[in-house]
Amino acid sequence: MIPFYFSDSQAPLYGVLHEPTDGPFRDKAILFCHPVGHEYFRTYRMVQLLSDKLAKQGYYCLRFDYHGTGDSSGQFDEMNMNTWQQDIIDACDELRSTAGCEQILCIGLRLGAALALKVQPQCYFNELILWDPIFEGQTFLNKLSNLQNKAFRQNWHFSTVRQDSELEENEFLGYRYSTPLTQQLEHLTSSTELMNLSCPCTIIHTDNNDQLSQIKIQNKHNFLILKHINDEGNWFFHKEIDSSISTHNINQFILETLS
Amino acid sequence: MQEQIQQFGKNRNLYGILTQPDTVTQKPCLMIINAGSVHKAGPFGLHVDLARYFADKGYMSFRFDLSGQGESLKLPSELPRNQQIMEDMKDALDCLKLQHQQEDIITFGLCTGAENAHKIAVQDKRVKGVIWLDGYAYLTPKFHRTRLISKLLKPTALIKSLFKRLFGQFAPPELRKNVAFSSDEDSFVWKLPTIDSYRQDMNKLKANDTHCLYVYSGGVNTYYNYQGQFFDAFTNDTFISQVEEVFFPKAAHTFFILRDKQALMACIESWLLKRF
Repeated sequence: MIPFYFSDSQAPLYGVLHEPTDGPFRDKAILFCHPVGHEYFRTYRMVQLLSDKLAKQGYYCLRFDYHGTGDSSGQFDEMNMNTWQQDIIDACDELRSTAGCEQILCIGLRLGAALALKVQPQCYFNELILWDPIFEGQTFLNKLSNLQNKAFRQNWHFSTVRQDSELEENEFLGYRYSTPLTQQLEHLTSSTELMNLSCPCTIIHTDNNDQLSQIKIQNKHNFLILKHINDEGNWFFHKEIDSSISTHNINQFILETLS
Repeated sequence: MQEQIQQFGKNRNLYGILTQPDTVTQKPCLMIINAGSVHKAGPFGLHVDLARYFADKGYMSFRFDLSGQGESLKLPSELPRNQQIMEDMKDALDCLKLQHQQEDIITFGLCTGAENAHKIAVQDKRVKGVIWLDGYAYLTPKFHRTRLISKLLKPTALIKSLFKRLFGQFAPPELRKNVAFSSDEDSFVWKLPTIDSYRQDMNKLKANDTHCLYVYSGGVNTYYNYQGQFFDAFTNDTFISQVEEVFFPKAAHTFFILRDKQALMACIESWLLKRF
């Protein structure tokens, strides 16, 4: 596990490379695209453990923080989806040159999955694994807002009820989403990308999603595989906004799929 | 401000990020310790925000991962976890001294990080200040009164609590244990020292002229619920002259609301200016 900075030296991205340790060396490397906001922290440990295990199966893995998130440079409240999409493109280039692999498999989580879909034409991912991807940005924002309201009104995190007036504009669970980011999220929809997708893509979903079945039917190339895994998602459970998730079944599924 | 990744430790298995202000100053350096199992960025990015805020004010800081957390590897070791943590923190202090000439250190920690920030301060004289968030607290008569009054004002919560207590009596012993004070070394909860042992620690800190800022949030009202509780518990002890106690009753344990985080930073900044 090697942490390093890459991309623009004045505004670097923080990445962690997991080099293959055991097993046959693979001709495919794996790029992880994190969620953002509070979900980033909830999944960090799980992604790290999964990267470790995949490296033991012979894969180069790169996980990295988008600008304004984690240990990368920049302020979250100055970011938007264009910046993060460019970050994925830069990370993909970095992984191709470091690992010496042309083929890249991208594992995207939540908003990271939606971002990965958007940059597929530039990154030429050979395969995608999307875990609970965000298909509709407006729904995501509504759910974030509801989750925050619940956290404010119930005495799990706070001993007194907090008011919305105590928040900054577009502040959701500890992060201020910039106006451009909020507007992009309001218009975000991944259905078109999924219907036109031209590489194999597995969608792991932890809740029942009728929309997915419709998209699968409409995918031109029949590349979509849907996998429902009854594992810990709890993305919108107010008591768990600050706890790490452990997803044994999902990790196991990914490890077996890529073994 | 500049940030650099630092590999360190006797076995070179530890990683952290050093944040340096644009101009060199004589101010002490903040050493930011993992909060529970969260990696060095801190819960909701608290540690990154803290490092960058104080770099703008001229303070260097070092946020790092203890072995087995974040990017720091856990090596095979015969040491129990709590001793390994002490070794890791000493390695961080050595790194700051040898590679960055920093000898006056202020440790910062939230929750279990607070416990570790305290423990290393007791053991190592290079630590000149301790900032903890939701660390140890001792219950006082006023704490119990405040809790009772608060429960009486919320009858539904009181009924729930009575039911819980009633049925809790029939639960197996392991479920009855209060997890906040569990002694399981590998779990991410701190263990409250006996009051005598804590007094000894604090007298050591006073002898070393180590200053302490103890911050409590409303998120830990099961063991701290009014401004001054710490002072009340140690009214007759001379070490309290080293301590400043601040209560943020509205804040969550991780200070994730931006306004709370800003208030926390301002509070720390004011304490630093006053004491150093």
